[in-house]
Amino acid sequence: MKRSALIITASFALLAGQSFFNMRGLGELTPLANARAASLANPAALSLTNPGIVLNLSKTNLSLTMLGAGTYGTQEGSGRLIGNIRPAGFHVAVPLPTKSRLLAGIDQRFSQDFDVWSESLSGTNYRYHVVGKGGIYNFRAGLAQALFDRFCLGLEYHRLVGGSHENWQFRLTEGGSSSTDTIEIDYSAGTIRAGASFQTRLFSLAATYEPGFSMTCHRFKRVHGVVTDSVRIYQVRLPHTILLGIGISPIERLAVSTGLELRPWSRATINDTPVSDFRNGWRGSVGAEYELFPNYPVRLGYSHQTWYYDVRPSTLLVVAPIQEHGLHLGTSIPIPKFGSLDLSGELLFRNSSNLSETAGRLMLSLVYFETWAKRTRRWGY
Amino acid sequence: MTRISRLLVTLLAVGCTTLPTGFDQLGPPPESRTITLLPDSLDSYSKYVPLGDAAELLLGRDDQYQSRVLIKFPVKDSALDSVTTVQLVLYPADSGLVPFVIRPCSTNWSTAAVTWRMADSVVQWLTPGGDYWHLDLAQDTLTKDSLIINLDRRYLDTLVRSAYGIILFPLDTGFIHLRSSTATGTPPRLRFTFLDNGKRTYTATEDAHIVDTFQLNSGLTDLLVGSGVAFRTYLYFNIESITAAATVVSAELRFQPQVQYQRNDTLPVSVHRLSESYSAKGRNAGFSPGISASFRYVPADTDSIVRLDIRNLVQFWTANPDSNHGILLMAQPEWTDIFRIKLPRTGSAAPRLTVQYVLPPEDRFQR
Repeated sequence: MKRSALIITASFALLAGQSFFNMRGLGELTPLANARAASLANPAALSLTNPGIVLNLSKTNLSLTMLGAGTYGTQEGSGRLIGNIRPAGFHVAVPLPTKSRLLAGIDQRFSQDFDVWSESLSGTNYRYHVVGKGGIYNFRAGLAQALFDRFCLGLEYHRLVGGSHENWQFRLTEGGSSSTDTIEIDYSAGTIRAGASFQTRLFSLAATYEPGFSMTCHRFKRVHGVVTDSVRIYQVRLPHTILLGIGISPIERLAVSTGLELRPWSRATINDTPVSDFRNGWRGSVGAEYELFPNYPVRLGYSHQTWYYDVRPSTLLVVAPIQEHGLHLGTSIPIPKFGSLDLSGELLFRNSSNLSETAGRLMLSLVYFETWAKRTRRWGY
Repeated sequence: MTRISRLLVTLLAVGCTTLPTGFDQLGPPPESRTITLLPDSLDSYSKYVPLGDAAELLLGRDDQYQSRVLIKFPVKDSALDSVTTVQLVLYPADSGLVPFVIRPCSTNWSTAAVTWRMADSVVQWLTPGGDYWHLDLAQDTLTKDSLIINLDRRYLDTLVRSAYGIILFPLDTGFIHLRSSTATGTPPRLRFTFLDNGKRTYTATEDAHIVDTFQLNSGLTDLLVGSGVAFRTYLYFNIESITAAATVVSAELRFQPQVQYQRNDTLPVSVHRLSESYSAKGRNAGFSPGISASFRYVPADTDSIVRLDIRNLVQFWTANPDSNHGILLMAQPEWTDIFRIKLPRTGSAAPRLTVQYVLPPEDRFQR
């Protein structure tokens, strides 16, 4: 399990540093890796996050998404820019007979990438440079069933694996590094997700439910590269998640979607102990898609969310939530005989008590449609 | 385009900064502590050490040290009757005025092990400082220009058949360095001239200098570090108060020595880790040949303090507490130009170890 987690971590995290807020809890809740959904502010219940969303699927759908993210954090007058480019996710949906669908995919659920420096500490000749890499990833597979051309029900199994490395380097003021303490955590869990949707030409209603589940976290500490601390195991109990979405298409070339996510993280526990820093998080979004020209849509969206954990700066005696506002836009470029190239750009403004950051995300999804057609073999070609 | 380039450069510059943005999200920094330790036990001893690895041979004496030079030539026991003159060719490496006498050595010795007391690794000199036939092959004064010395022809037979090279004894005060057999083009040579005016030259195959000090037994309680005759100081610091999980950020051993003797401006001092208990084995306690730290002490400097960075060593000890047998302070190398420094036992100039260490950080679930 550890090896697979490390392989996944290494292959996904090409560069570190996605958010200055990623150092607590399980890190940032990563949105679905899909440019189309991202440009609509990611109404999760109306996206591939919901296994019951694939009502109309005549062709096999494959999509591969790349993500580039840059984050500029500011705190008490000082600012830093950190960046990240990585493959973000892969999804496949295959139509089966009797209007069943086979679903599978890989994407990230939590990001634990960060990169921070400490201040020059008085009386010391070093600073800390702490680099976190990795996260928790979803391997998912499931089935969906369309009913009466209006309903779709889906169920997915999610295997969560992941790993994070957190290196605490002692950077000497005269140059070079002195030593490194490393904290490694491996994650593993399994859960299911159920989804349903009701869709007409004018109106769509979707919901997803994921029950709470328990995640096993093995922690290893390698102190100054010599001493290995004993393994510590945490059982993190994650709360259930409810996703809701409504889509309206009042005119032929316009579609409006809204989404709501409810995550009651105040119920989360670590080793059966409630975590005071966790809070109930929610996320709301509204997005619109308009076809300027046939097959050339323009998408816009706005989102707001409260993260599931509080910030507790060591320099202040206050606890503050992380508030995030997001602006989203994007488009699709059709690729004849292939599918489309979906693009999205997002601008996210996050702030808490004394730290704020502006994150820019560029997402690119290459979407491929294929028809599994039965061909009649003929002589000569 | 220019504006975009400027924007990109600005963004890159901002990205390269190491400002402490967001660090306090990690919670309070791991606890850091600094402790200063005095040695729990200390001692010093002297030892004759082989000096054969020295690049140059030291000949001379003064009121504290005496250094003799031994040289071997691969002379052949044939046609000695036809030898008319025997000349020793030496190449001084510096200027000096050292009167000396040359005598044939009567006990075999080896470059790698010869000391003032030992001829090789197992045989002691009958007389410390080298056994010799009481025959003066030559007596001369070595100066920069004095290169060729005529040896007494009458003792050639003894030199070739009964001796193991020659020993150069200084007769008065002063020191001079001679080129050794490893010097390219200028090793010591022995030149025979035959009746037919033919000449045969033998190049030195082995050489060494051996050093003694007249101060060996003075100040038995002094903590000394020195070369030539090796003086070594043993120090033991009890670091049990540092937990094994701590990261040692710095560990500096410092002291302000008093120079008792020096022949060079720079005095190299090193730290070696003892691998065996000094209290059990004393001066025979083994030590790691690898240098844990070194310092080139320049007494003329205004800040004449020896500072030795032994962070890695202290870190090793914290992880392996049973391996802390202490350290040896030594000259590095011990065959370097003769010096001797004294470490105060008490006061602000005495050896002390300052260790700064940090406890390990908490993981994300403990913050």
